[in-house]
Amino acid sequence: MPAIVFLFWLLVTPLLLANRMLNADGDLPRHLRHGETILATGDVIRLEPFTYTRPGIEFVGMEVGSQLLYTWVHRVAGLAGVELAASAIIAAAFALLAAFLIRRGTDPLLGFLTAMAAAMVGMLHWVARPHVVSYVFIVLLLAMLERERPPKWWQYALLFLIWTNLHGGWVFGGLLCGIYMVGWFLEARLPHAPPYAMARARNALLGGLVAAAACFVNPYGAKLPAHIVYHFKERFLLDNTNEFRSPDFHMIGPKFFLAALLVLLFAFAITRERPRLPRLLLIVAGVYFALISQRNITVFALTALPVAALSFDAAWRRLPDPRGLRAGFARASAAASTWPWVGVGTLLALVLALRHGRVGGVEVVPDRFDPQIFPVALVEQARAERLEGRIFHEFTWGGYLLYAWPEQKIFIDGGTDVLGPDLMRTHMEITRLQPGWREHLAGWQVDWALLAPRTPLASQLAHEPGWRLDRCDRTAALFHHDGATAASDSLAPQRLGVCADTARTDTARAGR
Amino acid sequence: MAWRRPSLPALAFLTWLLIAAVGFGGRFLNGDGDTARHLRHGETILARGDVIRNDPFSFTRPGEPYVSFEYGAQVLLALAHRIAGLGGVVALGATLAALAVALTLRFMLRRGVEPAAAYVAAAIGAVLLATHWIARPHLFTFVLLAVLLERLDRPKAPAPFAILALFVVWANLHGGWVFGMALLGAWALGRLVDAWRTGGPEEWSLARATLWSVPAAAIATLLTPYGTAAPLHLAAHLNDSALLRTAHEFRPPTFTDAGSLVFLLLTIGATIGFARAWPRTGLPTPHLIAILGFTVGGFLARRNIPLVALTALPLAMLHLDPLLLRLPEPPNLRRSFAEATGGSWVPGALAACVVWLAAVAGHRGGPRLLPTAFDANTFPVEAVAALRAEPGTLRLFNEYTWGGYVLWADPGQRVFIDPGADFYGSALALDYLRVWEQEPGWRDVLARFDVDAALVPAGSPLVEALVGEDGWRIRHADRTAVLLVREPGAPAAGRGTPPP
Repeated sequence: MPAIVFLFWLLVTPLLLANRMLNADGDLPRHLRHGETILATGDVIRLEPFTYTRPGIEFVGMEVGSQLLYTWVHRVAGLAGVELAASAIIAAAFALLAAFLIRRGTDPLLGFLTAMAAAMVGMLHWVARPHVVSYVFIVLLLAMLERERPPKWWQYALLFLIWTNLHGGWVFGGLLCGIYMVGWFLEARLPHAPPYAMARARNALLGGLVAAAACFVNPYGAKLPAHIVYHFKERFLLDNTNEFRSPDFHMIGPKFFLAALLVLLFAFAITRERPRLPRLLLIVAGVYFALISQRNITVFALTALPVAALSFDAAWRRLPDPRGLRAGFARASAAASTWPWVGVGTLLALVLALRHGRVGGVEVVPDRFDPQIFPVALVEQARAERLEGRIFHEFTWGGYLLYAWPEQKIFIDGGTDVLGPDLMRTHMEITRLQPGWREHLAGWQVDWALLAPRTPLASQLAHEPGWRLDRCDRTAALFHHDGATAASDSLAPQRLGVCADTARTDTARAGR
Repeated sequence: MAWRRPSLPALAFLTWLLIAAVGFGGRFLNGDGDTARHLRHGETILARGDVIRNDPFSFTRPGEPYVSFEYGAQVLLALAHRIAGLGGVVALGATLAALAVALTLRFMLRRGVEPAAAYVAAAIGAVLLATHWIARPHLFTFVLLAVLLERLDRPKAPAPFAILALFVVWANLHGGWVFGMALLGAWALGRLVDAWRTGGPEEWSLARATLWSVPAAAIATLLTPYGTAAPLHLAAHLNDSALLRTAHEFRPPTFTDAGSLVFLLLTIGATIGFARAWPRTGLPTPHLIAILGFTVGGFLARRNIPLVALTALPLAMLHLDPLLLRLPEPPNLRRSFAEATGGSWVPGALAACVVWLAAVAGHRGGPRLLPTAFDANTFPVEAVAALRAEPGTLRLFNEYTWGGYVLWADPGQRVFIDPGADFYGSALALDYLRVWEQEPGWRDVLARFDVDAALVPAGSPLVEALVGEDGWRIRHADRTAVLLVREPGAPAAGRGTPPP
């Protein structure tokens, strides 16, 4: 049954979610460039080398290991390989979830449905980026905390040492230990508490302490945890980063989460089962974090849903079993094998990756960034023509510029944890034409502006004295600053309008 | 009359009336530009003696058919304004808000919720209601929803005639009757499910009787001056997804806001409560449907959060009561609350009189305990005064929320748009946003509507953009607003996009 989950998502993710996996934001190309830089220099990045706005400031990377992992894959198998690798990691996380539920004795059909539902709820944040690695570690840690025999200290240490050096999501691992510690501690104080409750609380405390110690064992030492704490305290960055905002329930993705939340409330309201306090705390913490920040919805799916399934297993088994479906599924699950199927799936994905996503000349998995989302054509031209000068650009294109035009320094990219809130605020003031935007551009001595054609700033620069529309297509417009005294480009509005209309037509067509 | 201590609902009414009127008076008036718009609509209806049937307020959709689903509340707001000025509007809003809290508390007490827990729950509900405390027609829906819940959750089904009467009043006051229909639907469906589960003749009889209320309520919604046009208009409005995506109050809550955070914590509290305190008597299906349905509504749109406080919260309290009773209590707290379950409603009525007298006194030059004017830091008070001094009629592009204020403060002036989004529709809203955010084509929008003046917040990017256009001059500027006027003969779009 875990094999079905693995194969299903290994197949569906790169085929149906390909565009989002690669193009959801500009972060993947940024990570690839970081990985290349680390491989080229033989050391982690310690001083900011990519921007002209913050050159040489201290740099702390929270995801060094996974950046290297993706970069190696990219070198061997291109972007299709990266996408397949990320898909395999995601599929593995949810397959592990299914395996965990079955091992804990959940009815196999309930375990299967929970793992599939968790994937549906959690797919909101499936992007080929380092955080997907944390999905696997979250499930592993949950399984450790939930298993009957408490884990040893070295098992925690091994897990957290690897996790810390792969992705900053280990913070949630520490939190998970804390939730179990508090939950078991409170449970121990209740009447009819299980005799092992206090021992479990102590074991979870041990896990948290090991996590706290392990997070220092990385190339940046104590700077890494300090940096993460700083990042989560920067309210401006969190408020203005889409993935850190509350879910928008008008969109389809968060509606799956809302449905899951309703099912949970419904189940609690109509069943007699009372979850143990560690599980209940985990569920409510998952709800809280997911509602505060939509990137945590996947964490909710990976933790709250499985422990809810464990809690409701008895109630589920009391339901009628029409046509013996549940019993049949359980028999099939017991008789089926997992590893051969996982091996075959992985092998096929590996072959497909090595062929850069192509089967017989047909591109099954995209091996390039979407030219309607990233300024592919204009950047190619600009790089070929060796254009020089400082460039201002759309926020999400910063990472792409790093990847596709390595000689060019950028204004900003998605690494705002390093670049800081002030630079992000300045970028927003410029793109929103807030008072002082001209002074900002002049202050940073910007020569070029690479913008989406249908943006206020592009529209304004087309009318702005001193700025000339160098070229544009349906995705991007490249403006050049000819000097403050130069007259405005009288044909620029018309040319930009043509590019913008093409973009609008494309959007409308895509919408239909 | 012998002195009797105030009843708990009266105490809640008194407390929240004072908090709302005195502490949040400014919010009631200045929460958005809609209060002023409703006052202008109400005055127009009172002056004409008929509802508005064609748009008299905008130059973007002049004379187009107009349907209102809140004309009754607009008239009442205008009457309060005539009696006691803007202070009267605040007093009316605060009275309705406090009444909704008191009715919710009374419902919980009558259904046997432990008094201290009920009082605390009502206070939490009031905090949720406060997220949408603005002197607007939806406050009538707060009260009517509380009344409907109390009427529905009785062992006997409501008489269809009573439901008909309630919904006739509701449909003529505010379009929030759709939430009443939702609650009614939850009860009808829930009782059907319960009857199907138990199969008892009494349950079937109750379900059938409740079901009869649904057509009675539906018929009532047609009994307005607009007939069938009102529900059809409301349905079209609620289906305009583009509009719902752009209107702030229809957006999902951001859970870092204080009010929304309380909603989140309440959801978590309910999760814990239902997880730990299985209601031994069983949870009636109508309650379950209403709790889940209205909670979903709160997640979908922040303006629905107060409705959670009026429905899901008190219903959940009926079942979470046993869990709360197990918690430790401060000495004698519960007993002193329990002793106050009787008591008189007179102190509440007296408090309402005091607030209204304060409003009238403030209006007539006495001490101003309640706000008597719109906030000059929020609305373009000085700029509209300058606008009134302009010769001729201007085709004014105005900031969205200021549209209502302009209509109220300068009745001769037509606007580009105002917060009556249901009338203007998503097409004009998108045109407005194009200009506001200076997206490509914004100059063309100004040219299409031959705009020759603009009233926008000081410091907004549009000020700088218009100043850079040929022929546009700043006519007035203060710390809140800038009034720009286009010189006669200058193109509306300045250096707009030449035709291809």
